[in-house]
Amino acid sequence: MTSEDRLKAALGLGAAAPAQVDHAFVSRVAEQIEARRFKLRLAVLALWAGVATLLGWVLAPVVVQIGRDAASSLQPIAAGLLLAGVVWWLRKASVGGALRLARRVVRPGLH
Amino acid sequence: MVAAGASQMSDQALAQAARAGSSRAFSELVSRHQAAVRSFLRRVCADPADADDLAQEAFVTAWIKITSLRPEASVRSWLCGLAWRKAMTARRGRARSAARDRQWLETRPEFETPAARDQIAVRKALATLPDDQRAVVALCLAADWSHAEAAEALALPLGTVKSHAMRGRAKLLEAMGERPHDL
Repeated sequence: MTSEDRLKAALGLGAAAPAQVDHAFVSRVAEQIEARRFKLRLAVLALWAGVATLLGWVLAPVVVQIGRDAASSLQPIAAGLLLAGVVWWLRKASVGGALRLARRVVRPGLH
Repeated sequence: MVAAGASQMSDQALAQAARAGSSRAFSELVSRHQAAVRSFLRRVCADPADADDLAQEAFVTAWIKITSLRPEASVRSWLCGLAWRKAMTARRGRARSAARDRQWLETRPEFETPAARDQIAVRKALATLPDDQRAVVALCLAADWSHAEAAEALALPLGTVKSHAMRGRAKLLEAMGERPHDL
């Protein structure tokens, strides 16, 4: 045995050499990558949640104020829409229909 | 395409698919190169469990940094380079336990054969080599890598790799009781 062979043999890993095909190792790596991806996704979501909370906190007074202002200016519009709805409904209704409706309300069992 | 024939694809094609986000392609790369990376780390780190942990970390880092892999580069060299840098980062904390393991090995009766004595002597000598030299020995002498491949993986000049290989071989032979100049 030459010195080169001896060196080669001594540098060999023997029983400690890893298997050429090791599905367990590959799946452990895949698990770690998935865990890392999940943490990253979680971190991004947490960041967005933080940004949304901050925005909400900053904009809340403005939104409330806009709501109040709009409520007073929208009141006539809402009243107008309600009136329009009532008129439209009344136009569709007929005297016969009104009588039938009234009869149904007074004596529900009679058809 | 990746799902159908990942095992027939070249490393470069798999790396490209992994860059595009294919976990399957990356798993195939891990499967192909895990033995090389783990063998390298086992020679460098002494403790196989530590070496495997580092190999896992290196592969996770590879997944994160896959976009930095040049299309023409060797995937095996790139992975071993990442593993080597991981090993260097973890080296300090683990040096003490590696020395303890070597002492324990020496006291085991089953290691009284000449081949085992050579192995222990080589391990001890490997541990005393400078980091770069140890890595070159692990790649070029133990795993039969070319000097150019080792230079690429370790980010060292080719001439440095050649001289590390020569000096490393001389020291290991000396540790085994051989005369290096006989070569």
